[in-house]
Order: sequence, then C-alpha cells, then structure tokens
Amino acid sequence: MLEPFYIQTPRGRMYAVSHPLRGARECVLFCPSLFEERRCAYRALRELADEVASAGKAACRLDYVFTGESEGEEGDLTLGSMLADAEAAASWAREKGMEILMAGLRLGALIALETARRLNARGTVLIAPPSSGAEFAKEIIRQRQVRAMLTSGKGAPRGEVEAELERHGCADVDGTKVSAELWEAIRSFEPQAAEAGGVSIIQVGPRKSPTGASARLAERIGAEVKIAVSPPFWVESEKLEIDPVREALRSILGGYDGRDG
Amino acid sequence: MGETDIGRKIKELVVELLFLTDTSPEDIKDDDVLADTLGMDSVAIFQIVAGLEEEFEISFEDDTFEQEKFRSVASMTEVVRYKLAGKSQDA
Repeated sequence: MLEPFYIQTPRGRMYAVSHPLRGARECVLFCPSLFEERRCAYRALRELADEVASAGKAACRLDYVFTGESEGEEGDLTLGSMLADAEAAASWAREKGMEILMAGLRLGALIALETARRLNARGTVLIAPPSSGAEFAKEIIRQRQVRAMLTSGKGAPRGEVEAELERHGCADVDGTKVSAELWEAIRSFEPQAAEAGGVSIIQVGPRKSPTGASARLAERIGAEVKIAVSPPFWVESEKLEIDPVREALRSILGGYDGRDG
Repeated sequence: MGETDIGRKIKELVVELLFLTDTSPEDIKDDDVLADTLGMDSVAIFQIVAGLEEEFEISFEDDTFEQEKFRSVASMTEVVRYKLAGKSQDA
C-alpha cells in the first residue's frame, strides 16, 4: 500500500511516498528528474517503485522541496537543495533501520550517484542517466529547439536560456522557473562513484549494447550497464512500455540479495 | 559515404529509434513526409537528431533546426551530407 508523507527539512516540507514492506531491511530511494521529464516519468517511477516492493524491498519516491507536491516555489530550487533532500530521505530510511540503495532517473540519477557517494549507500541504480549535468542541460535545450521548430518552423537559438538567465536572473524551462544558480550548477555537475558499493546503469532506448551517455558514464565511474530496450518514458508519457526497465531493475536488485551489506 | 548510403542509414535509424515494429527501412520512401506517414512528432525528431549526431559523429548548429530540414529522409540526407562534407574539410 502506498503511504504519502512529509519529511521536514530546513527548506520546507518535502513530499514523499513510501511503498512500505513490513520487515524490509533495505529501502530503494528514487530521485526524479526535473522539468517536463519529472512530470512525464511520474507514473513510470511509481510502477518501478512497485516493482521494488514486489522484489522484497521498501521503496520511497520523493518530490524535491520546491517541486511537485512539496512546499516552496520552483525558482528557489538549487542543486544543493536537491542533494540535501535526497540525504534527508536517506536519513528517514536509516532511522527506520533500513539500509539504503539509491536510484534515480536522468538528472535524478546523478543526484542519486552523488548522494550514494556521500552516504556510503549499499548500491546505486542509475536509470537512463546523462553522462554529466552538462549533457543533461544540452539535451533540455535541444528539446526546446525541436519544439520551437515544430511550432514556429525554426528552432530557438541554443543560447536563448543563457541570455534569459543573464537578463533576468532566471529562465523558463518547460514551464519551470529556473535560477541562474541552478542552471550553472547543473552544467558543471559531474559526480563520481563511491569507492564502496556497486553502481549499475540501466540504459533505456533502442540499442542492444551500451552506447552514448551510458557507455561514457560507465567508463568514467566504473559501472556495469544493463540494457532495457524500451522507449524513453521520460519524454513520452502516453506510451508507457517499461517492462524491460522493470526486468533490469529486478535483476540488479536481485544481485544485492544475500550479499553482505 | 555516398548519398544512397546516408539515406539508407537514416531509414534504419528512423525505424530503430522510433521502435517501428511494423515498418521496415525499405517501406520508407525518400520523399515521404514523415510527420504524415509515421506521425513523427517533436519527441521523435529529438530522438532522431540525437541519433544522427551519434551515428555520423556530427553536431547540429542552431541554423539546422528548420522544419523543412527534418521533413523527409531526403531532406535529412542533405543536412547530413552537408555536415559530413564540412567535417572532412575541417580535418
């Protein structure tokens, strides 16, 4: 059964949903992406958390403070606040006596990776991660360019967001108000893996072998790559075909069973 | 790489990246308007842009993003051919 609740943080109340499992010794914490990707992937992350619960572990999804159902205005969101929120969720799980496995989607994967390193999490699962924050920012700009191209015939210049940030100190990204501080922090975000604890990447897309961002990130941080041949559910919420992602997640989590923490 | 090879590779990419299980690359005509025949939307074009950049090791600049250039396999072939020619001149 799903249990929505709030975690109090110095920044405000953070909305979270736990997929509890009585007696679970481990909790998988899901860090979402941002912008339109967060909205598109909402249902998929809920189903993946259900998958975790059916695999015998507890799961917890969170809305970073200043996003979604959490308190605060989106313009106040920073990379530091997102990392602090992930740590707050981890503390909640540890207070309940559970070990932590960090998981995240897209930018949330990089948040999960950094949080796992800081907290010595037992393991980390990165779902469709970009190879870096800079790559994530580039893709967000690209999506804007393509959308503008289809509505006005011509794509917006790629420096448009930066120009807006310079002029106003904030910019509109997919309907989300983004501060110059957040955008710059995302662009220079390049987290490393912890020395202990395994890191697994789930590559989601049409390719049957590690390619692109997954391959680059795996090489940089020394992670294993599992393949999920599945459409990118974080940009296309209408067609939710995530069975291969489910299978990859289950296989990774199965690897932690019976392993000493 | 010749124009025919580029076109064939683009058709393969379109089928693969858009998960077109009922369409083969040979089913796509060079001049088909892909928005009409395959229902190609912004998400699909984004996937194809990323796929073309990776496959052909090219980078699209701002002036590439014109609707006409992503209208058909023929128009995308022209863009890729132009980019590849620029790349070989730079090398």
